[in-house]
Amino acid sequence: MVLPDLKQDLHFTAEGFHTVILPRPQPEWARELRTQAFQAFQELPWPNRSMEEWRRTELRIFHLENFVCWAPTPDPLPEIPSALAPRLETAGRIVTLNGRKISSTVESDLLRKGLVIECLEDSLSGPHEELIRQHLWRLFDWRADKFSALHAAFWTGGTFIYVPRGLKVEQPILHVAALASNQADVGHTLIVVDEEAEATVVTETSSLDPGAEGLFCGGIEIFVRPGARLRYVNFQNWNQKTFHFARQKAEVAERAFMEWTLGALGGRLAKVNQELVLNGPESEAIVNGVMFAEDRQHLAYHTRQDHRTGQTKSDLLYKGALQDHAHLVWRGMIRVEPGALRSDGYQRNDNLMLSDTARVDCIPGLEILADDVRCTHGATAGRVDEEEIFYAQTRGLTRREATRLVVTGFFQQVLDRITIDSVRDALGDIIQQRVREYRSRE
Amino acid sequence: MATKVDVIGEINKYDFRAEERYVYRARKGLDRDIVAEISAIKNEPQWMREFRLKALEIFESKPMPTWGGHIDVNFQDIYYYIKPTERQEHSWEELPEEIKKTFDRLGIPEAEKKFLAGVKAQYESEVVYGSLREDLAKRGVIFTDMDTAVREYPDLVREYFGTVIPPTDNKFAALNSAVWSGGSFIYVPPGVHVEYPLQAYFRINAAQMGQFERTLIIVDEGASCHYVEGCTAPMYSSESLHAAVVEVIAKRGARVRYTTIQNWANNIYNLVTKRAVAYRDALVEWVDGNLGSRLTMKYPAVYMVEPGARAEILSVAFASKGQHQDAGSKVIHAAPYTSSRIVSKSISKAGGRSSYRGLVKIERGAKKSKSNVVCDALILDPYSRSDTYPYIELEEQDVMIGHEASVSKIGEEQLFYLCSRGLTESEASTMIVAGFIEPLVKELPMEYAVEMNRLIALQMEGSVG
Repeated sequence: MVLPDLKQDLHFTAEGFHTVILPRPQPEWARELRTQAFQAFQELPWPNRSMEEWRRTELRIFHLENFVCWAPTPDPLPEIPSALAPRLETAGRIVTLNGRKISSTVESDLLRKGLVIECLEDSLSGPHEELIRQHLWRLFDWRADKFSALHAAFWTGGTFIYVPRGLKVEQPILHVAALASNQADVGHTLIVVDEEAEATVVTETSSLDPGAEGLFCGGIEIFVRPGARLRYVNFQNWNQKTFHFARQKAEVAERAFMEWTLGALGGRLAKVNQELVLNGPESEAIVNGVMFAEDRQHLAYHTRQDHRTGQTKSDLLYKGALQDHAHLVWRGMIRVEPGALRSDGYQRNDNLMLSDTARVDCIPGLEILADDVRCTHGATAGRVDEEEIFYAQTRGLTRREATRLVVTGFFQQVLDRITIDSVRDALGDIIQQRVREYRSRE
Repeated sequence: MATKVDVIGEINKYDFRAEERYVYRARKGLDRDIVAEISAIKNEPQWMREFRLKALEIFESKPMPTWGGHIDVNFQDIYYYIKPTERQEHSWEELPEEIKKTFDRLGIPEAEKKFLAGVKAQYESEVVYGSLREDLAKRGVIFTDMDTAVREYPDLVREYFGTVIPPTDNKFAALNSAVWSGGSFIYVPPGVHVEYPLQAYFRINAAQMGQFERTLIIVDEGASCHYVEGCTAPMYSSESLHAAVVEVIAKRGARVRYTTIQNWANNIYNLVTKRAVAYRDALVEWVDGNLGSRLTMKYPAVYMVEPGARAEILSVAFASKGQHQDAGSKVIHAAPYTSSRIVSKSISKAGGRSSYRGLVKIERGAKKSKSNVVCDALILDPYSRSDTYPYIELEEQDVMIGHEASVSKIGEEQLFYLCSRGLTESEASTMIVAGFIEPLVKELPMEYAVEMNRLIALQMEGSVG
């Protein structure tokens, strides 16, 4: 490909779109979709606080013009920091920088059996074109808001994981997504786990420079086909200067199972939509959320559990702890469609406030349009129990140690639901490192 | 079969209409002239006239809410003011025959004799009947209609009117502020306990009538009272609007309980703003039953502004065919050591939709606040819908907050057990629903509890099988 002359930085504008994005090699259908998405991007207004979904999220600190829509991959390649890579025995790996693949490996045996771990953009016109075409954007509504449209218009690189029918991949597949200083990642992830197949996928995000700004505006689509099983972990661990806008959605078909874990630790401002669609009898999903916010972080997570058909089961547990001036938002919805009888939906959100100046908004929700269902939710918030601290202190622990212990215990309930030992331990360790002294004593 | 006929007769208990007679009716529609006319008829002081006109501007500048239920009201096709009688009477006998008959059929005079300390009966826009037990009047209790209060207690009214719910609060509060008429004014002096309930009964009789009563309750330090309101209207083919504003002020150590049983006809939009301010150690209780109306949007609120204030909110919503009950509660903890408890029960049936929409807000510094919210919903058939939208906003760490909600249908096992004891399925369902709303019913005055159970039984009639 002939690179255009990049004398000036090209931003997320019409110029950027027509100069570097649209001319990229891609099949005609993909180009057509991009064009539509770009039109939506131009037409949609910027989210503002009069919109219910953005009412609690202040966007004024975010400036899109600070970021370029495309930059060449640096040469030589920098070292990619990862908390999980050294701890996981994997079946395959893919590493992306600014959304674009810099390396990928698949165990040779699995490669032979058809496991695909590739760059999505490169795969658009390959042997899997038809499969990708059938799935891409089906779970992603780019008209949802301006960020979604931006993503669908400007996406580059991305990750494509395909687990063929009946293949059981025992070891996790790891995707490390890294972001260089002041760069943007607009990568798209598509995961298809075909009928009766099994896999574990772990995505970890990581900033090269802990002090530099970054932008992630991404989308994830996950298809768990009939009878398949997927454990998916999305471990958002950007630095605290990164803006993170993500829309992720999974469709779980009949008899399929998904365990979906979301760790939210990084980001200056994170706005995430996590949507689960149970679309077939005996489909089941477990959703785990671990959120830890500090300093001036703002993390907003909007979750949705859609029971499209009957005999479906979903169980969501989000736990959040926050200190300093952090602000945590969780807004959840269980929706049961008419006729989705014998649906069983649960959501729970617990929050632990470690400082006087933190703020949490938690908004569970139910919309039930069928009668023979069991849907419940619960929400709690409070601070570290002084009695527990006192007890630990009588056992010789310092206040700081005691607080760490209590916070770890608070998260243990959700960590225990993560069935991948290495991920569970890594998450636990990282949270523990981040719990500082409990400063707000009376 | 015989019982069936009875039941139909019973349902019609509220759905009857008297001939429309009035001594004055303002023309249809809403504009500055109508608002000025209402103010002139009432011979109001200048400040109230200006308050109304300002509120009209606010109403016109505010967009319709885009959340909650679907509101399809043509504001120009409504009568905003109908004066049914020349003056307020203090004896039922002096009321025009059809109005007296109306309240007789609703059982108000009978209830008054038995268990009430005072009664106001509002018909269309004006309070037509009022009474208060003499001993209470002697102790300084004021229970009158809002219009009289503006004339006779101008200082009290001016001090508090519109302070809890300013016209800018929302579109329908602005509308009410512009065209309000009737409603109750209660003042309970320090230390006085009103032991029996004070009751108001609101009746819309005319078609295309909007009722906009305005209630202000001030319970002074260490005093207490229980206010009960009931609302009904006959069924007309076109929609009517009820947009009330209720302001409650509970001063230090005061206790106020406000009970509403709303059974409007199924074509009334019931868009009501109710809010209380609770000062140090005061207790405000809302007991709220929503059975009627096409759409109710009502979220009784308590602002706890001084330490030790408490709020208890208990609500039941029953949404049947063509109904949407969008109700809930709001508690704002703005001071330390405040506590609130919300219990909400809703039942959806025959395609009805009931939604709980609530807010628990803990402001920064409201340490040691506690709040507990429990929402339970029953769905009686596959065509009905139940929603829960509880908002929890915390700016303070040293608090205890809990929220729980569940949605389910009537348990097969419970039904089976009751049927094995010889009940029909319909009787068993009714009994289970009655048990489900028990926490509310037991808080009602006895006569209301009986009435409530009867209404639920009527709503449940023929719901199963």
